[in-house]
Amino acid sequence: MSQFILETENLKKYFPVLGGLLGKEIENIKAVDGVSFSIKKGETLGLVGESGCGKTTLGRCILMLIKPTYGDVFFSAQIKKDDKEQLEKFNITKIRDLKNLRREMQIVHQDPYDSLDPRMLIKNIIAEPLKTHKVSKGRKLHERVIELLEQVGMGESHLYRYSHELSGGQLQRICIARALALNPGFIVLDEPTSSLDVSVQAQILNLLKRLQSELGLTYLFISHDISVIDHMSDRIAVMYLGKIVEIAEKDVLMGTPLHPYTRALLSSIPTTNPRDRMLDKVIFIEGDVPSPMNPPLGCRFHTRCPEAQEYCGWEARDFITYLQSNPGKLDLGKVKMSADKFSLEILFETGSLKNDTLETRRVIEELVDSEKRENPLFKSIEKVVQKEDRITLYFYEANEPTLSKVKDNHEVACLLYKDK
Amino acid sequence: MEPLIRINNLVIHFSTFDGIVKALDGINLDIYEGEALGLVGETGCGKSVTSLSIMKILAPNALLKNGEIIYRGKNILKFSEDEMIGIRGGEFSMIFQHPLRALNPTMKIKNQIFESLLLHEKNLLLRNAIEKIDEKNSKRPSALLNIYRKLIDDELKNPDSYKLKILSRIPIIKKYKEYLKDDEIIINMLKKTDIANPSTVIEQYPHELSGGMRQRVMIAMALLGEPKLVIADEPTTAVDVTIQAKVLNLIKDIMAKFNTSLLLITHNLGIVAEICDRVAVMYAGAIVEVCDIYTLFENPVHPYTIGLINAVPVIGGKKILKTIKGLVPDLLEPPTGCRFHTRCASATDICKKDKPELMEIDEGHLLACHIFKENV
Amino acid sequence: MSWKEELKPRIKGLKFALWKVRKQPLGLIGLGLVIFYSLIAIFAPFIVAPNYPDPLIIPKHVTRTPLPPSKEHPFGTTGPPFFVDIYYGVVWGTRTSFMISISVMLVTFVLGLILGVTAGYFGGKIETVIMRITDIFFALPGLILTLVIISIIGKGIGPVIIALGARWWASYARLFRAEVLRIKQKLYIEAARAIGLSDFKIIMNHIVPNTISSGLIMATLDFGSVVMVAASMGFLGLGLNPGTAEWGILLAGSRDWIVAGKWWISLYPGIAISTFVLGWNLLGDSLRDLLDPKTRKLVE
Repeated sequence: MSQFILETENLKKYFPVLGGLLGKEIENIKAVDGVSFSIKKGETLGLVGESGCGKTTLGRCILMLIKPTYGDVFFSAQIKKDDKEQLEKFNITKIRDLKNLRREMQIVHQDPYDSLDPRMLIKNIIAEPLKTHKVSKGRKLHERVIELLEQVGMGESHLYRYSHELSGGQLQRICIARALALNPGFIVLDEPTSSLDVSVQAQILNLLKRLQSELGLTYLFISHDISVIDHMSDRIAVMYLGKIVEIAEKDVLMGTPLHPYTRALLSSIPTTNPRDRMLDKVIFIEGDVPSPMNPPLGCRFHTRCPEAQEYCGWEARDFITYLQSNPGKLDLGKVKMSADKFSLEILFETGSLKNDTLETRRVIEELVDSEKRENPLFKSIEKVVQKEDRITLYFYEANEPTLSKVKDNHEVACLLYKDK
Repeated sequence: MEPLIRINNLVIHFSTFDGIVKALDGINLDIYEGEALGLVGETGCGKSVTSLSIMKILAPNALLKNGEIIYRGKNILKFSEDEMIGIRGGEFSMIFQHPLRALNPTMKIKNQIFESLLLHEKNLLLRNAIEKIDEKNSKRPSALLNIYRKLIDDELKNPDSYKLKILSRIPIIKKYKEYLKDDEIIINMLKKTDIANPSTVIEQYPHELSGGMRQRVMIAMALLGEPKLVIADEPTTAVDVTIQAKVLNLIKDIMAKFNTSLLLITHNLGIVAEICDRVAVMYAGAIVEVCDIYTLFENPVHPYTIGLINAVPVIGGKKILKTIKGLVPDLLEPPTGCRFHTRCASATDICKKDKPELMEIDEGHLLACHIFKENV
Repeated sequence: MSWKEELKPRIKGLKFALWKVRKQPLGLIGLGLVIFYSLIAIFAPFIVAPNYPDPLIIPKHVTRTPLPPSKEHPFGTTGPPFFVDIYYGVVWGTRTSFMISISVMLVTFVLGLILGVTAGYFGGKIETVIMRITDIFFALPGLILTLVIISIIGKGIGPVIIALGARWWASYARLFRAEVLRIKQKLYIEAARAIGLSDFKIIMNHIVPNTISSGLIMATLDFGSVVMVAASMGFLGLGLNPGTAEWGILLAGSRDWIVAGKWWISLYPGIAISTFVLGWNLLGDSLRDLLDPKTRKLVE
């Protein structure tokens, strides 16, 4: 029976944006917006996504280094009770003092220079966790530190150095040694090789694999580099704008990606064979990542999705964006737009001439008719209501897709696969 | 065929508190017209130093110990700062890793581009300016406008005249410079780099744009002077992979449209495979192998090149990566002879004593290695 | 022999610092001045015989007008209204200056450190409360604050120290809070939390050691300023009892006699004050350059 070492349920982390005179909370950056997944003991779950998707925040929330805004995190650990070791499951979101559990879960950060105190000797950096949990002292402590250094491929000669004297690769090994000091079962690796050279990265990745098999570690491996994720992971989760959009076993995801974002992402990986170039067959994604303060309704990816359909969540804001990027279609100066989720009100300025309003009504009707054939934005318009002083467009009210099982070990959050 | 730029035996040291860092150990490199040359290597190999030498923007503690960089028959290392200002941003331009750092956060995009235009396309602006002076649209008296016309004409013919220098400082007279501003040229330039709504973008500040946009603006600025050589130093390292694809595509397009040469500096072999024609591999201040892009991946010879290619994780590749043992050497006391010998499985005595010369082992394939030069 | 090994990298750091000092002639001048005055303060009893019972009270020498410098009175005397020997005042005034500045700096540094770090690390209401209190102290005009404190507590060196401390602690609180906010974001703080360190341990082991250097620079620069302010207070007759060996008080004696051309009363204490403050300022400036991580390894 495979055991889950970590499970999250509807995990959310919002960062409030304060504004106004009294510094009130006016908006929220929804960095992680409802993430549920689990990690099996002994596996490496790869978490991939681009900047702003929330993967780093998720990694921190799991370890309770940041307090989640909502949701639960369950962690299972071997606890010694009356001379017997048994597996116990803890809801770590609800525990106040995590000091003991911290021994079981550790983190290795991306920037080795920043994650080591510049004023501490390497020896003291590695000894710190041992001293904090009173694991050993004196001679035994000294020996344990050396043992940890050797385990990561360094040696006694590095004990009495400062971090600024060592290279990035060496520092990262020290961070790994520090993380291993308390014999944890679970380590979050947050872009551990992103700031390292290629050959150093290879050494560190090999080291991480060796340690995993020697010590039976479970990893959450976060990266934006898909080749590295493919190399290290057993399963892969893809994140976009605070949510997991697809999660599957490595070979399945890399071989048959289902979510359009995953497909575009995988198609952008630069080639290793100049005769078979990525640029000749890449799927480009238009536009930029939307703001996490007000993510798109329906499916968050619909505004940039190359395969978006009319039921994917087109909304009033998208119509405004469309008009802004196609400036010739409608003279925006003559009207005021008011977007309310799935309905858009086009209000005529008071005092505008009757001819102008007629003209605007006509233009809009024509636009809708002509675009309805090809453009999913227009296809999703359910009705156009003409009133005395305004035109209201009603769009199809799509629900946000949830992660659902499509095959064994393959879950996707995409409306293309609903009811399949 | 004569190369556009020929670097001969370039030796550059840096003086630091800890001693002299021997950053470049006699580099020989040719860059041809219209080609995309990749300069590949890891941290400290000297690839950035090489590019900064071409632009002559090295740090103040750099020491030019030997060597020359020949461009159009002249050694640009001997050029004065004035001569270099004409070339930098004009015939040679550079794209950096972090566009946010390269762009001035307090200036609108259009003003930054205008600044660059003023330096490199002044005559074009002046000619356009004369057309813009229009009595009908201006509140200024006709006499004043005539003075402006005459001044612009003077500047075209005789830009260094004293009269011009003095007159252009007088308060109302110097307003003629306003006519030089040319939003249209700027908008057209931005359109060429695939920016969707340039008229909005030019009015914005750098922090209002996304990373990909900023990179495009920087590329647009690099192209203003119709450069013969564009140096791109890790242009996509700080950018997401989907945006990287767009930027690489843009660079490829631009090279084709403008027929410029590209020197692409990176540690990422993947992007080199995407857009380069030839590659030079550097290690610890020396060039170890130069070949065309197909040979690099299909038939590399130098042990470091092979080691580098093996170290990159490939989708569906081996479980354990083959690594190069050891670390990049300290360039304060670099290894003797071939700088790679301390990490090379095949090193012999001659490798410890003599520095291998970069020699042609096959057509278009250069190698600096004592052992493998027969192995083609 | 692990302590020997632990020393090696620290010695290397010191060598680097000394090498940089060599490149800063002004800093050396500052250091020289500071050492000079320190020696005078330490060896004061050997330079001028101490007065009995309180060496910090200048022995009186009553004359109708101030006496110019002579063999008996190398710097002259002040005449009415204080009737003190200026040489004695300048030499023992060095001690007073050091006493005041060291005490004030100690109090403000420690108080500012504790409050600033607490405010910066814990944030929220604690931070708001502490920062508003510092804002109030900043808003109060320094002179008024000093006057009020002196009038409540009375005169003497103790009250002066308290008055100056009250005026100065707020800037240290602000400085340390700003430093803490900067360091709090560093990944090694998060790493420390991941290991399971308590807040107290994180503050003591990681935050304070990394903020001290900025505090030290500010303290060095402020050292001279404290003496300046103390001298101004003395000049205005606030704080210390008249007749105390303090440069400001000596200067006060020159008020009535400048027009009469008795230059020695203002010259010698004036030189003392200005060179003392200059020394500390130069030292502080060069320390700031020394400790700036950006200029660590760059060489021209």
